[in-house]
Amino acid sequence: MPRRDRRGFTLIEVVVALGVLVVMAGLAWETLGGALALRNYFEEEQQIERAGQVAMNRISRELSLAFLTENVTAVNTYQTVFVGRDNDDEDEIFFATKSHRRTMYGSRESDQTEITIWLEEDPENPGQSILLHREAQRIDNEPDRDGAILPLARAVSRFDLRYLDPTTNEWLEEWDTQGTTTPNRLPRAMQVVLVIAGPHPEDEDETLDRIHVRTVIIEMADEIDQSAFAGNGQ
Amino acid sequence: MRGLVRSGTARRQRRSGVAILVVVAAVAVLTIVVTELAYTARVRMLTAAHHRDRVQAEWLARSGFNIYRLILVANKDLARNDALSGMADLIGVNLGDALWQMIPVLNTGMIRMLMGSGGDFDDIDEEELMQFEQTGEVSEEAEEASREGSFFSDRQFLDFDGDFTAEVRDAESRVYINSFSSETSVTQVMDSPTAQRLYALMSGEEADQWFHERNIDRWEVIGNLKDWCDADTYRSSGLGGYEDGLYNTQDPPYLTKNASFDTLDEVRLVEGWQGEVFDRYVDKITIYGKEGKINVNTAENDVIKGIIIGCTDPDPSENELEQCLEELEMSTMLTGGYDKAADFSSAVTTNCGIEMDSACVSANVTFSSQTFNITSTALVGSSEVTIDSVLDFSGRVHEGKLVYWRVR
Repeated sequence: MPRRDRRGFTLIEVVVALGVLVVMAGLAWETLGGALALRNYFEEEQQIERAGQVAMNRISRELSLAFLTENVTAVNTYQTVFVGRDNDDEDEIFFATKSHRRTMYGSRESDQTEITIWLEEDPENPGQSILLHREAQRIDNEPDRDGAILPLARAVSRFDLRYLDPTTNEWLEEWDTQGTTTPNRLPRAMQVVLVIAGPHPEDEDETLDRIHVRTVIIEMADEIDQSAFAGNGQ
Repeated sequence: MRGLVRSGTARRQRRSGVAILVVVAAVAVLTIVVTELAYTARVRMLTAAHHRDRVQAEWLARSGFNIYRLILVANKDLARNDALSGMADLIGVNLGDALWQMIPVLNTGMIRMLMGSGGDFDDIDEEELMQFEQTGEVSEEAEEASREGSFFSDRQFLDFDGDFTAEVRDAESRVYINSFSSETSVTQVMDSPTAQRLYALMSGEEADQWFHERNIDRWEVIGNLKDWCDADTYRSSGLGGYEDGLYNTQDPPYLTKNASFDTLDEVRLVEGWQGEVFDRYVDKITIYGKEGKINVNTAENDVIKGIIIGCTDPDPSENELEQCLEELEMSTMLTGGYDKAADFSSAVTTNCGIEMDSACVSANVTFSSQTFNITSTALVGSSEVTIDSVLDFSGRVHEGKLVYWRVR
């Protein structure tokens, strides 16, 4: 083979080529890196948004089908309650509802169940709160015990509930069917606020709150008493 | 010179090979990125569309429920109007259930087809009907025609995506099982009037065979229902033992309620009522309708059979009953129904030669229903939503009190 055919690049050519390559790679990395970081941010945000929506859908469905039994004589075997406790941004609620879904044909389950929803410190992420959900297989005489506990949402910074009293048309912070203020009746509607902390678009060390707010009509509650409107603005 | 040309060509060929590789690699990377983006975008779009359709379907199903609520309220208002009721009596019409019985099913797909055919069932296109039966949807042409042919076209009547089917049925046409909790003096299941009605419902040649094949004792499963509701702790089916013995060995264990059922689905917790037995009888039993009286104008034959057996002594034979029910069905069609206990008793006597205890008939029979199951199903795109509901008109609420509601 002639000598000219085996001639390689000169050092200057290689250095120049490498320089151009580094500059181009740097530019590409900056652009691509920014785009990838943005993509990751949006994906994470969408995931948090979806988790919040799923949690809110489930809570809304269960609350909308809440009920109280008229069979108050069976207290030793069957109790239905609707109790919402106000604890600033960490409210708790337990209630009976007709929202239970059977997963197996022929199982000894009905559409009735007991639910508890509350906040607790996340054992996997100290300093963060996790929204937990308890669902019993059947209603018994212990309305806030037994059943399967599963997480509804992580990194929750606020879970706040308000209750619309059908007799006065006023929003209350607490509800207790066993107490004296709202005995043996359901709220006509509820306002649910769920705030989940997600990544900040500009600062990795900061978080940004995603706020979910929903008003839920409790279908089987009494209609708002018309006398509650009397005199308003007249 | 030839050598130089050759070597130049060879170099070009080598460079071309690298270029193809670079291009192929770049195209492959781009293809992967674009495919992933397109796939993700498509999944998100379908999820969003499904969510949109589901919300639309739920509100369509609610529309079906609201239309029946309106019909039932109108029916109740008509029945309360003394002047109208008097006129209806003269022509032998019972206004109590007249309106809702005239429209037991509402289907917007059928209404669309009917309007497209100018209001005549005979003019509905055969192919269109077949497609509707198979898919539950009508074609765009038929939809368009229904809008043009509608009296309500200026108000955009039926101008929405999807369709709903709603149906109504009264609770009083079924056997009321919560009366077990008020039969306090009855300890044996066979002595319970409610149990006798249920047994009549579960008897007959076909039912005998069905229970025999599954080796199910009917009095035992009926007794378990009674034991779930009644206040005592002993089994009523004559098999001995405590009621809770059937449930405290389950995982997790539970106890009999000793109170009325709160939902019909709760029956699934009772021993022997899971699966097939529940599926077979769920449409024939009810927990609504406080007095537990049967509306003989709307009840099916096997429910009326229980009334006749419960109010005659001795019980008529199975053959006598079958013949009697056929005669009664014909008589009800001709007379337009009953509005007094005495009319029903005399119809049974006249048509079947069976004497009924008039006090028993008065205590167990009604001629107007107060509680209604409304089932409304809507289909939008591929999303289907069904609402099961129960409205109770026996109280003071003019629009009826909603006692059951479930969206599935």
